[in-house]
This record gives sequence, structure tokens and C-alpha cells, in this order.
Amino acid sequence: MRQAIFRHDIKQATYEEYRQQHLLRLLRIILPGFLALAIVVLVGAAGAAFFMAGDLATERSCMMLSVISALVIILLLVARRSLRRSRIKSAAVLVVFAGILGTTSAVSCWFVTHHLDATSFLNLIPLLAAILLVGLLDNVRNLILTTTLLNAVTLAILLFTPRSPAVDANLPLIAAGLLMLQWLFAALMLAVQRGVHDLLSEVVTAYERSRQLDSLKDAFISSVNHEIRTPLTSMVMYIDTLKRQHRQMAQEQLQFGLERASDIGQSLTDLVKTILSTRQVEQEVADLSLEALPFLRLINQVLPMLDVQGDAPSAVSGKQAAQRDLRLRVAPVVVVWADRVKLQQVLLNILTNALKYSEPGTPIEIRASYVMLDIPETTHTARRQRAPREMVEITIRDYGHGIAPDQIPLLFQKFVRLPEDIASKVMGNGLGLYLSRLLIDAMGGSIWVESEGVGHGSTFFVRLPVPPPHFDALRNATVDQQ
Amino acid sequence: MAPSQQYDYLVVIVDDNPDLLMSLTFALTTRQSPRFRIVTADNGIDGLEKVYTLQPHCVVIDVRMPGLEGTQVVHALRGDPATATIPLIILSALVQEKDLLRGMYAGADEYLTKPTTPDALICAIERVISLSASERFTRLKSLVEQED
Repeated sequence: MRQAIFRHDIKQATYEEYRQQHLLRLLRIILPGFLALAIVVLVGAAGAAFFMAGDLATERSCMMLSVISALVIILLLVARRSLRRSRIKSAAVLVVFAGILGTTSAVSCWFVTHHLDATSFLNLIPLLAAILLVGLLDNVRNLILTTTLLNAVTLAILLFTPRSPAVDANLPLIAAGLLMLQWLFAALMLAVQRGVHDLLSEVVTAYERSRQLDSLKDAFISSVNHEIRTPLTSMVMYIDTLKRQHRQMAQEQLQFGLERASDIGQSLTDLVKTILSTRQVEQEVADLSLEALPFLRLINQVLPMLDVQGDAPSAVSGKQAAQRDLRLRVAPVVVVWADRVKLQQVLLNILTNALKYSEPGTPIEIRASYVMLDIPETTHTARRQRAPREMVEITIRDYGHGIAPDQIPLLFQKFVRLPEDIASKVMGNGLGLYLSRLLIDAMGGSIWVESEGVGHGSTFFVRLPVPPPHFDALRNATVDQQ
Repeated sequence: MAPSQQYDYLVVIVDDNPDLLMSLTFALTTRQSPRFRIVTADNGIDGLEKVYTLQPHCVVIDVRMPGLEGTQVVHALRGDPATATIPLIILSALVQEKDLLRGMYAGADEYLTKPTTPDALICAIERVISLSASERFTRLKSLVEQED
């Protein structure tokens, strides 16, 4: 749980980092343009105030606009300073505030000296620039607040500015149109914000995924490092000794050293092969050959494979398997829909693990039965319905080392070896269960493990689909045969 | 011939990997000079017992072992006056600097990383055996001072 919260925090921090970079890029474009515009307005307003000294109302309006433009310029200069000091959020807030102040003041100043007629209400359109700024640089809440504020400013202008008779007659319609336009623009900015948020979230998720993969690869390298260095030391010891001492050695000693070096070389080769074949298996999962397989027959083919020594690095010696009490509780009727070779591979892997991680003399139980599951199914009407579905559930229970509850979620991940595995005598490469999950998922099933904790053994569950309805005949035939 | 004359050094090797124990025994016992007698232990507890009983010239210890870890074995040996001056070598697959420091702070005289050669191991054994108790104490003291 704590780990999940920690991961969420990291993701949130990464998201914030990307968001800040996005804001920085926007501000670098918006700020200079906005500043230039404010300077032009200041010069224009000051010039107009100077040249129209006769008209008191216009002069006052232009003076007011000059003062506000100067204030906006100051705000923008402070924002630029904040940006240079990497205070991106402060800079964004200042730009937004300057935008709202600038646009509302400019529009208000215009209407102080002008009447509302058929065309002049179009001068309210610049207010949309404020919505644009808030939409790009601020959050949803402030976007809604700003739009509401601009609605109020628009209504105030419409109500308190002298109107021409044509405008007066259509005032409600014009007001409604302008307010709707502002909300439409706000909705558009909301969609843009949402798009940016989704895009950033996807980027962050992809980044996090690649970071996790990196960390798993590091863990894998550390694990493989241990698994390879020790046998390599043994091999170097034998070969170096044989090279230097072979003249003084008895024939039996020579033979022993050569055989041991060769055996260790073979184990190392197998280990490297398994690691390198992972990619190949990942590509092969798409190429499954599903068929109806009577499970009892299949498991009886798998069990003798546990006696084969040497082909796979994880193979268990015949002696090790023979010492074990393998309890098979499988109804003859059980038929699964799976790829024969791949399922054998998965079962072999789980059984090998069960043998490796439990003491000689302890039993291993294998069960398989039909279960009815309440699985959501997509119907042809694209509606999701919950319908009971029959599956085959295979369980493999051992009474061995068990797994700590907090480590269970790690077990089916790529390159993962649990800390106690690395410290134990058990060899492994952290890929077997990952490949098993990959294969079972591809066959439309699921795989998981339950353990009451260290020292209480583990139960591996594999659920696989039953054959399609037209294969029921096979199931009946199997019953008859068994 | 007295037993002490059959070999120059008695070395206890503690490692959970039977193949490694076998290979180290093979590499060291086939040498004519110096001559080694090797006693192996496949876990920390067994290793401690054998060191207390045999009082070997040198102990070679792995770090990652089930049960008692190698550094814990080194701590235990250094903490007991009866075994405090026995030369100790860590032979580990852990190659990071933090692992090396952990081993040295625990009290090991040498930290060898796997894979190593028989020559390197023999050199290390001879080197730690030649260390006097005062030299060992000085090395450990300087390490502790560095850590502080």
C-alpha cells in the first residue's frame, strides 16, 4: 500500500514537472507578444490623450488606459523576472492577471466614450483573449471564475452604456449571444486543457513504465550478476588449475577437473540461453495453437519431464523429483482449451519451482476442476453483461518456503527474483513466472499465487478456458475413455 | 610425519554453493607450494563451529548465504578474542563499493570479488596471513576513522 502511494507520488511529481515545462514553453511565446502589445497600447493611449486634449471624456479615457497599460507592463515585467528565476507558476498567475486587467480595462475605457450600436458591441470580443490566456495558463476552476467575471463585465457594459434604439430592442438577444460566445470559448479552452492533460498523463505513464522497466532490469542484472559470477569462479578455478598443474596431476584428478569444468560451462550456457530466449518467447506468444486437451493426460506427460536432468537450467534432478510425494487430484473429465507445448512449459515451470522451493519429503498437490465464474462479457450490442462462464482451474500446492505477502505482486514481473531467492541456494533467472504469465494470458487464462506467508507454502492457480461448445463431444469421449 | 607438516596452511572456506567449494578445494589442494588443507562449510553456523574448533590459518567467506550472512560471520569471529586475529577473506559476487566497504568494516582483511583466479586467491591468503595482529588492528582502526 505504502509502495503504491509512493509510486503515485512519483507519478504526480513527474506530471507536475512535465506540466511546468509545458507552461514554460507557452509563457516564452505569450509573454513577449503580450508585452509588445501592452507597450503599443500605452504609446497609442498616451498619444491619443495628448492629441485629443479638447475632448475631456476621451482624454480621461485615454489617460486611464495609459495608466492601466503601464500597470500591465509592470506586471508583465515582474512575470518575466519570475520566469527567469524559474518561478513558472508565479509568472503564469501574473500573466493571467495582467491579461484580465488589460482586456477588461481596455474594453471598459472604450465604452466610456462610445455608444452601443449595431457594430460597436463587437468591441467586447477582446474579452475572449482573457479566457484564452486563463485556458492556456491556469486551471479549470479559474477558467470558470474568469468567464463568470467577464460575463458580469459584459452585462455591466451592456446595461450601463448608452444604447442605440436597434441595440436596445435586441438587448436580451445580444447579451445572450455574447455570454454564450464567452462560455463557448471557455468550453473550447477546457477541451484544449483536457487534451493537454491527457497527453501529459500518457507521456508520464510511458515515462514511468520505462523507468520501472529500467529498475527491473537493474534488479535483474544484479541477480544475474550473482548467478553468473559464482559458477564462473568455479570454472576459472578448474581451468586455471588444469592449465598450470596438469603435468603433476593424476589421471583421475585431471578427468575430474575437466568434467566439473565442462558441467559448469554447460550450466552457464543454459542460463545464458534462457535469458536470451526470453525475447523470442515474447514474440512467440502471438503464435499459439489452441486445442482441446484432456488435462489428466497432459499432466501425466509433464510429470516424467521433471525427471529429465540437464536440458533446462531449472531442471530438477530425478532423485529430487522421485523423493517427492506428487498427489494428483484431477477428474478425468477436465478438458482445457490451450496450446499443448506452452501449457506443458508453464506446468513444468511451476512444478519445478514447487520442487525447488520446498524441502524433500514434503508433498506437492496438483488439482484441476471446473469452476463457474461471473465474468463480464461483451455482447454483440456492445453492452457489457455479467454472465457465468465455465473455466478450468488448476492448482499446484507445495508446503515449502512460501512467499511474503508484500512480495507476491512482484512475482510475475520480468527479471524479478525475490531477495530471499538471491540469498538462497536456489538458482534462477527471474524469468520463469513472467514467461508463464505471458503464455497463460495469451491463452485467455489467468495465473496467480496465494501464500499465507514465509514458511507456509504456496498455491499457484492457473485458470484456462474450456473448449468451445462444439468440442463438448471430446469431453464426453474423454469421460468414456477414462 | 606430524599432521602439521602435511600442509603449510589450514584454510576454512564458507560458501553455500557446493560447486564453488569443490572447485576451490580442487584449485588449492593441487598446489605443491604452498600446500593447503581445506575444510569446507556450506553455511555460516557450520563455518563458525569449524573455525572455533580448528583455529585455521585463514578463513574464506562468501557474503550471500542462507541463514547467517558472511558479514555476520566476520563480525562474530572478530568479536570473539579466540578468533579475533584469524585472517579473514571475503570472496563475494557483490561487486559494488558499498558491499566492499560493508565487508571491510565488518572486519575482513581482504575483499575479493568473484570471479577470481587461484593465483589471486592464494596471493590474498598469503598476504592476510602475513599481517600481524597490530597491523590488522591499525587497518581496522583507520577504516573506522575514515567512516567517522
